Amino acid sequence: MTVPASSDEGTISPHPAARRQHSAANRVELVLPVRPELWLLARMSASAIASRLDFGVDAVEDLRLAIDELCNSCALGALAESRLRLDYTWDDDAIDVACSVAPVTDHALSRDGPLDPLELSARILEALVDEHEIGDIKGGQRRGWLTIRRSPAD
Amino acid sequence: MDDLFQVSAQAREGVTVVTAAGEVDVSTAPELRSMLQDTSGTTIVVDLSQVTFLDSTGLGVLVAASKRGDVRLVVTRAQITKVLEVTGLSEVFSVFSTVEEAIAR
Repeated sequence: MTVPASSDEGTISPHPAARRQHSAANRVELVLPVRPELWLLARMSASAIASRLDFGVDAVEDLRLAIDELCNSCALGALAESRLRLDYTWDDDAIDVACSVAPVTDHALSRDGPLDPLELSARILEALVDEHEIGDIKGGQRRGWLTIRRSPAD
Repeated sequence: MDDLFQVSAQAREGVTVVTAAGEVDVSTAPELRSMLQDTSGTTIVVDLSQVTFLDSTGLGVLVAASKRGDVRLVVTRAQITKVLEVTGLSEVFSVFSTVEEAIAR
């Protein structure tokens, strides 16, 4: 099953999974209330998938952090009733994760230092994953995605 | 899940040593922030050697603390070093491998 590149994705590019065919057996969906203490479940799921694919220890750790940053970024402006949806798909060489949070509102960043959270998240994602994108809010929803590929060392 | 993070502080040789352990993420970072805000003195050693996970929220807390005084980090885990490096914050903080070294600077 693939993740469709729908026309309501706003400025975000189609998720790479939309360009690949994944077996339905290679897909996990996780839907959570937007409660940050539950990001742990998102990290654990990513870690379990990457470990089963025999990704290296460093890649697993990178993915855990990247998933956390993906959740942080997409959940900015979330409301108490918002839900976070993660869609993990994979093949032998790559793991794709799509994230969406709804409803979200325009969020006035509360800066706790000279760097805003999105900037730090973006730097981390840029360094740790092969591709990623965080979209603008569209239709009360924010989407993002990332792809991490197996390194030759794995 | 609350047991995944612990933080404590003690005075040592004229500086405050804040010791964190576990995972610092968006749910636990407020506890670290509160501890750092409550510490007196302008020099704080933050021992992250028992921290197994540090995300952008935790980094933001450390950066905010550095605006109020001299914050020195103790880091031993490669993953924590990596996140400091990729965000450029390894150039912002003084990073040491032991608490003793951080205190003695």
